[in-house]
Amino acid sequence: MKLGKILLWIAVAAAGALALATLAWHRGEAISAMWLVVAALCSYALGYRFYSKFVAAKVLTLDAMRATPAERLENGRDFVRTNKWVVFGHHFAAIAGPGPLVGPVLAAQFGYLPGTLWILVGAVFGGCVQDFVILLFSVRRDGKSLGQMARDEISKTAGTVAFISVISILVILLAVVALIIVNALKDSPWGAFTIGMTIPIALLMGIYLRYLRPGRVLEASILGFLCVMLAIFGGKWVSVSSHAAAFTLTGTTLAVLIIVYGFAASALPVWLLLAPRDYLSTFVKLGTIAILALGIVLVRPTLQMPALTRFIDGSGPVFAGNLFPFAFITIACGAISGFHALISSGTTPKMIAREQQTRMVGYGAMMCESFVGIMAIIAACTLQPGTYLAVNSGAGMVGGTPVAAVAAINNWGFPVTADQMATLAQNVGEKTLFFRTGGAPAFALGMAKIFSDSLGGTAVMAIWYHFAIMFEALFILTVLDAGTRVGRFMLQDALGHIWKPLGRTSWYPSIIATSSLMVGAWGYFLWQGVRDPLGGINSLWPIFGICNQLLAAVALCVATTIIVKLGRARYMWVTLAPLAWLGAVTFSAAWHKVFDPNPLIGLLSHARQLAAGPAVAGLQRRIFNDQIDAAVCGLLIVLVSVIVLESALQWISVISGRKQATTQEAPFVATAYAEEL
Amino acid sequence: MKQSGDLVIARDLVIGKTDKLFTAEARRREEKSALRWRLQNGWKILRSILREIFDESAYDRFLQRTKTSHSVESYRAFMRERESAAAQKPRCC
Repeated sequence: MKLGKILLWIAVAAAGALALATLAWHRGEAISAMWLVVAALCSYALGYRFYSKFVAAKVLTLDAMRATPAERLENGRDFVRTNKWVVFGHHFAAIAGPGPLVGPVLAAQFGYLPGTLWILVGAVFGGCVQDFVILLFSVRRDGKSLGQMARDEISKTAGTVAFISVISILVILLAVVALIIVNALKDSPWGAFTIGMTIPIALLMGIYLRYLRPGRVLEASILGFLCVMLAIFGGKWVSVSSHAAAFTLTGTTLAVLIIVYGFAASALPVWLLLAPRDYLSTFVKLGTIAILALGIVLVRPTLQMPALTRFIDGSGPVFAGNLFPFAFITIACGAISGFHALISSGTTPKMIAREQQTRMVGYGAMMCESFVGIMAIIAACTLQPGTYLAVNSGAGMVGGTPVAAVAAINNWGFPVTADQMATLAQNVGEKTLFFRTGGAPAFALGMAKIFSDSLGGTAVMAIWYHFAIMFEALFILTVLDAGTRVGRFMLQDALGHIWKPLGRTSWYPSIIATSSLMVGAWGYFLWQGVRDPLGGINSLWPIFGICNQLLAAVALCVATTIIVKLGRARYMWVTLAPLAWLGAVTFSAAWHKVFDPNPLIGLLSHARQLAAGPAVAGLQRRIFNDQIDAAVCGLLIVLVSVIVLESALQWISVISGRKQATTQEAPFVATAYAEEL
Repeated sequence: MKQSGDLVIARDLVIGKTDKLFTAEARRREEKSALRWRLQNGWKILRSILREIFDESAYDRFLQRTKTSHSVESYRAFMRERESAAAQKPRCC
């Protein structure tokens, strides 16, 4: 390396260290969010330049001469050699969802420091590595899925467990994201109208694309976006008109509507609703993330949240649980997310033109997603802590009325008044902002504050708030309809082994049955979340985090097994270290969620507390819900333990020489594009 | 000779190798055209990314493969072909 470059990297490392030290040691006074941005950018730069390069060269030994499946199996459909920037954008658009926005907002109850450190360390040494290695291993196996790789490289049992884990995480994920929408839209005629309008807008886009201007997706997306903007302004008018009552919906009504929507989206033709909504959501997503990044750099907001809060002891009102392990399961996407392994072993490996590009696409795209998580932390932490807590705490945690909530929050040492909250609600065009759990409204508030500070002031804060709510809800509805459909296909695939007609994806009785099963499963958890006096998110988000991280554990087991089989056991720590950390985090979190004696954390002790308390309506249902949640946690832990054990047995057999290592890599074929190198 | 899109779109610019005999004016002109080239390239890449994300490139490839032209029927056939792939495409949380 030349001297100039060495000095440059020393400067980057020094700037990163200074920013992190400032964030870590700063106490008592507000601090600029730019320190977070600098710390993040320097960490990513160093991680990409040095760590990912080490993984690429020593652990994976990327081979420029090896033809990828996009070259060998090129068919103009799934397998297509694609420019690396194009694959990068495509991959990022698929992995970036609402998770990195919501998780960091919820974890901000511990202060800005724990979430920030976990996002940076988790991404550089865990999430980015996971996405990178799974992508490369899938490329070397003709684009096989994570489940297939688990079956081929570990055992058939591992493949089955991976399948069950994926279905389980889908069910919990869909329930949680649906709950976020419900909590954001209940009693909000403006929000409900705007989001409701996105459904006919998507249908119109589908018709436009199919009959009026076939294939002009960008054009249709721009038109769709303009219609959505009109719907936002229309929502303002509706919220003060005589129609407001029709769009002022309770949580349970919204839950029913979303369940019906999920079923329709799963059963309707793809071109009519799913595809146009996906295009529209991606368009809004990419644009808004770019604007938010620009807004943060322009405004350079000040973080109002302290580095650490008193809630690290587990007494937090947003979700209960100690800093360890709950901060690390609350932030999944943004640090490490098992769900990404499904994308890295899905469409992306079939588009990679050269093996070296897996580094930029796998490692690099995850870094960008991680930065989205940092922006979410900034958005949440620019709010006054009292406001943040008033919005994010469930009614059951801080008292059922605004007065009681304000008193409780002030008692914790975070000043807030009912008048301040009323003014804020008025500024954003809502009746109230109390008890809006789920993270989405708090993120929208933070985003609206940043945007309105840079453009338009308080006068347009309501527009920015509802734009942010629309942006998140659009994200979430896309995850909901795509997820329900993916789950339906997976169920049909599995049930087809029992009775062939059930596996036919175009046979309507099978479509109805499997869609009902999938929607019924997530709808059940959604319903219990909506009826939960603690706000639902309190118990469901940790379970979702556990599921997601367990899926990451499965992916890292597969990766470690392949590394060992390739004869590079001395480098297995690259995936084994994050696996060990995830094992510690998820197993202890699951243990706390099931058995902790504190009823706010432990599901079984909560059920016991309910049983011992006074008999109230719906008591048996709530006890049963706790038991079901505990059973789901327990089952997943047992299943993933099986994969970890099976993998460990493989590693020991191969390392000790008792077993011949054989991997299922596709045979080497030299690339025909060697002259490009 | 086969060439992937990488070389076409992301070819490195050769700047800074200006001849010592170049005048300051010529160097300025070269820098200006290099900047224009970079901007054009940036736009080209952004457009390609968006076209891929929004399946417009996939539709073009379909037209090329099936030797059909842009029409309601061909788009319907394209969507039918992609139906199962699109429906199984997960979107991350």
